[in-house]
Amino acid sequence: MRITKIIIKNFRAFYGEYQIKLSKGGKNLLVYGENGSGKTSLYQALKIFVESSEGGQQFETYQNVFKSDAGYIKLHLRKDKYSKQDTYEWSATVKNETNHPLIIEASKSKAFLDYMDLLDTHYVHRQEEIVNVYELLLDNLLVNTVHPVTGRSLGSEWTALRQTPLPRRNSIRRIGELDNRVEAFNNGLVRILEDLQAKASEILQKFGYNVALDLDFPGITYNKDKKTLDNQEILLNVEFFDRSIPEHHLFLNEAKLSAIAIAIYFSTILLQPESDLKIIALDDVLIGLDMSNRLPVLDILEEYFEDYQIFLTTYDKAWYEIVKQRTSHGGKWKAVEFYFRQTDEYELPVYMEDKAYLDKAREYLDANDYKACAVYLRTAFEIIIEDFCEDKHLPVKYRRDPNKQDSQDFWDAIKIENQTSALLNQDIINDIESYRTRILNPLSHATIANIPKKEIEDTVEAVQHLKDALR
Amino acid sequence: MSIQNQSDCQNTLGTVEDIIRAIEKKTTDGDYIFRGESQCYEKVSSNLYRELEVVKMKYSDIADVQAEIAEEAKVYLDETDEFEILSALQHYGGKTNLIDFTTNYNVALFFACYGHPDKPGRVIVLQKTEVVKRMLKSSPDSVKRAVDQESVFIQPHQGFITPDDDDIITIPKDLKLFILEHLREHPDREISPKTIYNDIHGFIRTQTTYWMCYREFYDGLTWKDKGDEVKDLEEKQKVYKKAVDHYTKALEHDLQQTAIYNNRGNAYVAISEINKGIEDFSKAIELYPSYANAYVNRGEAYLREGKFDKAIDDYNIAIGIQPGFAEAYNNRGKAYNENGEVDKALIDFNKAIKLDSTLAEAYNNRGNVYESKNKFEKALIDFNTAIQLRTDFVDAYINRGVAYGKRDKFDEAIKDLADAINIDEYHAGAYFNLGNVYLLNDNFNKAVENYDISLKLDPDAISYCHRGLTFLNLKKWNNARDDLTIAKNKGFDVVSAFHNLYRDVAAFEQKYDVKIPKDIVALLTQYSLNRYFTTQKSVFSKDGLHESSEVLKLLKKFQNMEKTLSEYLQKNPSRGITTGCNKAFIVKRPTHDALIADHPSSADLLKPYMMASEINRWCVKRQNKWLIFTQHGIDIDSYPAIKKHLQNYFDVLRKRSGKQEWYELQIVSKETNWLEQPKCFYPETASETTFAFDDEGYYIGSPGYLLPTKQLWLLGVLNTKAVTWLYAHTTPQTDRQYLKFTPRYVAEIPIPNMPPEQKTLIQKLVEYILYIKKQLITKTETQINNNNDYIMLAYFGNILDALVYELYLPNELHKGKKHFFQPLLNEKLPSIDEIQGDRINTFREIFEYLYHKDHPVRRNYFFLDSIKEIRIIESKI
Repeated sequence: MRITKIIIKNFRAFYGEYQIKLSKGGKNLLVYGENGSGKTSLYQALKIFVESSEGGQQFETYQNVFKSDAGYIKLHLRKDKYSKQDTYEWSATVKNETNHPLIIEASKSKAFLDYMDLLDTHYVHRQEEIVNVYELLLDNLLVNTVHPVTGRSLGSEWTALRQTPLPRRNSIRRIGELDNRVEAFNNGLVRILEDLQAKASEILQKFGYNVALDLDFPGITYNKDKKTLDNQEILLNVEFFDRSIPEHHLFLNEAKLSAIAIAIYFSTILLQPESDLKIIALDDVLIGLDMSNRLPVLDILEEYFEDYQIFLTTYDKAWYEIVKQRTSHGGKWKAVEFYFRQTDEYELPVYMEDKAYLDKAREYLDANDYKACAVYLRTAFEIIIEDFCEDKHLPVKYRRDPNKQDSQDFWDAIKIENQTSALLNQDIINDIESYRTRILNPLSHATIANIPKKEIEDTVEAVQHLKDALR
Repeated sequence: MSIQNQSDCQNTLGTVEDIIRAIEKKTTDGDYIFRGESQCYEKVSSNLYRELEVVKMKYSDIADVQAEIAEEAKVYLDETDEFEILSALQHYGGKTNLIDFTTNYNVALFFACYGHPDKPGRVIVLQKTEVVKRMLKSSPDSVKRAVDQESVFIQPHQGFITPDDDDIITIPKDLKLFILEHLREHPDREISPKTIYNDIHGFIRTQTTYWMCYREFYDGLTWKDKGDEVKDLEEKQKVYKKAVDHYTKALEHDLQQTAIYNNRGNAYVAISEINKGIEDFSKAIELYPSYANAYVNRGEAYLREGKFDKAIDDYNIAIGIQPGFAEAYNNRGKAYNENGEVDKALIDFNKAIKLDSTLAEAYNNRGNVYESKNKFEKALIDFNTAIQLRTDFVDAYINRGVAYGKRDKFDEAIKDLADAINIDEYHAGAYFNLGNVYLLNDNFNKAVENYDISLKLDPDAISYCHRGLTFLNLKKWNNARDDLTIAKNKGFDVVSAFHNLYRDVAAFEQKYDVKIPKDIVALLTQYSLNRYFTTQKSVFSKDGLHESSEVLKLLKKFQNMEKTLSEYLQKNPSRGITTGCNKAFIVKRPTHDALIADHPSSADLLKPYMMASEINRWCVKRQNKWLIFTQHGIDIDSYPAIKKHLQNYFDVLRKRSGKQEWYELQIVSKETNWLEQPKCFYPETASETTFAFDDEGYYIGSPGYLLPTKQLWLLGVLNTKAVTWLYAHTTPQTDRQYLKFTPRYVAEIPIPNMPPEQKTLIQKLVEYILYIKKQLITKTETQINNNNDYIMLAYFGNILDALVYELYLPNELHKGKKHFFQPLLNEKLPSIDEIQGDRINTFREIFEYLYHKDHPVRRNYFFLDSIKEIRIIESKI
């Protein structure tokens, strides 16, 4: 089962409706996005959609703040490219479609990790060379792992245990009950950790660390004198195959802990039964890793998660280009980019797949939303001149930081080219340049409301002329 | 004269409202006149023109011909003005060059629909342009009929006019009768043959081919109206029956009409002949498949039959045909609600209200949903709105009253219910609920008064039950006994109703300081588990455990139950031993040894002993305690050491109640022969079914029970989540965390039916579990690995849970592709006796094999809670 299309409307950063098509085969998705561009909203949309059957989530909480008409998340799913497509929706009004067994099961085997989850590796408790990863695992990496005895998630088991009113020391029956629960919890967790340490060690090998992980969990105990749950400890030991043990505290720097955390998280997914719909989504997770540790992750995904549909997002353009290059063969991946546009009133992510920016600009113009119109006009303008420069191999001013590349650089290049080829007549150039300062300019959006509609219409026409002339 | 091909006349206006909207839309600006024609002609012409066309005279002559006619007619009329003469001629059906129009489009609609039931009709809408005004002649006031018809004439120079296609609104033949029905109920003035043709000439003109049929149809409508007004239930039935008869006669006139079938269907439903109603609606749909109302009506009929799926299908079609059909959403919401799909229902009610903010029913229904979710504030707002919109909305008053009643707001509740009775003095439900309020408010005489009336109107079981319970308070034992017996015989769950209101007999007796006679106590407590699986009408009570509709629905799904536990065993559980003085009769190792050393006969009376609180699920833990088993009639002098020991406690033993000798046990169940055999135990209270197998001859103390069986598969069925849940939800319990396992109810636990190989499989798993559990609790085997063996034990228990779910809920599991018996039977697991050598290691191998993440059993169990019913049972919703 694969996701073939994601449709999101007025959810968090998404202003209006966005469609991400993943073709009938349900490709993996690589997303580049500036901060605020909707990248994380996309990750959230998938995550909340899959988890919504567990209850407790309200679409209203995530409604885009600038749009009042009700939004939704819709996924198109197909078993394979030859079978029929099913649509599932989650929104303020449609809540029960995600109660479908398919989605519930997907929620149990999903893998969603973001950089915030890995930040916790920086706060693990260290006592000299002993690293206690109890919180990292129980509050974070193993939250969704299913406890083998109770069938509930470890996260909910641990929360329930923590919230149990702790019995007084003379309440023998209730202490007995609590002891039984603690025993069940410990036994299940020990089993999970045993399975984990083998699998995680195997995965760590892929990072080039020839080590074996040892997760030592003596078991929590109820201290009836102090009324506390003691021994919240899972001690992480690293055994080197080719070196002596005492150096390992040097080994466990934060980057390596991140790698270990990723290895553990992947293991939790791999050790459980797989659902029909298998999703793994990593939001900026690899940013915490050295470049040398990022590429192995791609290998791991390829080797261990072949059946999964993978969603990778990043704000690092260089890394994006590397992954895009790496995954460009085989047709299993799709790479898309999100850019961030801001007006004085609202923020608008622009999704760079959908090439019909001019059409979108006209749509917004008709709806009298001049700001959104201007955003799309500017994007259309930039894409037209960038594409032209790329196609014609025009020399463009180089900037070390690709994020600082300005549309002026491309426009200048075209004007120089025009001196010899005369593709553009002077009227078009004059039009573009005059509208450029007033409308086709990121700084102009604050004043756009004061510009007459006619002038915006003229700008649309000017960009259309430019597009026709450069075609 | 030629009549257009029928297909040209067809259009897409599917409902009465569509037609009226189309006319209103056309006439938003300016003055208009209208003409209705019951069939579609090519031209809109005068009757004189049509006459002349037959003989092919030229239209230019038409004015002359008319003038001649007027001249000739003058002889018969005391009138000189030509137009007056022509008007009179037109009125009596003579030939003139006048075309009848009206300024009231409803009148035009009437003419378009009255006649030619087999053909489409049309309404011509003419704007009063200058050209039209020149042809326009207003009708003289002298004729009453012309006034009532708001008549005007067009005198066309050519004998006809040719309106634009835009100006013609075609009426599908199937809608004609519906429109006539609509016009008849028109709020401004009734438009019917009676008011339109209001003199003898008019009457004569109504005598069209099908006038008898029309008459029956109108009579049917009249009787249906009467039926709606009549309050007396018997009378109501009679009147509706008359409506049915008239519709039936209308149908005898060889005229297949959607409206007649539809209306007769409604009348049938009103006299509770639902199946006939459904047949009629189906016929109406067959004749006119795009008539949304007929689907809604049929849906409602299905709903009354409890056929939710069919009802919902019909509503879906109706909504598909007419997306703005508020009533259809409202009704679908009702269906969802009754089917327990509360959230879907809520969406539909919201939608219905959005489409039609004056739909009182939708507010009332939504209020009920909120009330069921215990959102009183929201419910109250909705009930209030419903009542504001329809001040005689009986159900809304009742619902609001009941909601108040549940929250002890008795004054408000009584007022609402009294209002409901004022509006409809024949509403049994209003009296019943008023009775309930008085009952809760301890005003028993008033309660009885209201139940009396309710029972007269509708003798249903729940009212008998409640009146019976009220009689208990009044200590009218005979009345109570009669009522409760009737309720019980009608299949009503008197036990739960009593329990919901008062918990148990002791609590009732204490609260009201009465002593209920024994035979009535039996009525109030004797409970039959699987026979009372039918759900009850919701009884509102102050406390007690209420089932959500989801749970009730799920209980209905439990199936495949062959026999009760006691029917399998041919015996009931029996209670453990009561000593009356534990410190005398229960001895530990040193005393045990000393007694035997003192006299060897002591060994015969010293029995291994277990207290109820020491029973675990599956098996018992070895205890170092013995019971001195001195049954009634024992010759104590044969056991001198025992006698000497007991004598130490003589004073206490002597003072025990009962007829036993001082050295005898206080209470011993008759089933002593089972005590030394393999059998099962269970404690009286536990959080889950806790049955333990014992083959070491333990004697059990009270409050533990002995279940006389050694069939391990039975133990396997009982010790599961399914049976725990079923037991908790079908027996009176005050706390579902600590269940009370009363032997009477345990005996009634329904045991599913299964083929022998499935029994054997369960038996094998129970053997594994017993063996492992024993090792774990005694830790005799040194190589026992606590963690993993604990998981193994839990996993085998999980598999049993899954298997038993599959026995009770096969359809639900298989629909979600969750199978357990098949993959496990394929594995051909060995029975414990077939295992050679190290058993625990063999079990570990089996466990790891079945626990592998790709094994279908593991996978299916892992994802078992994706099935809704399992989530309900395991409280994961």
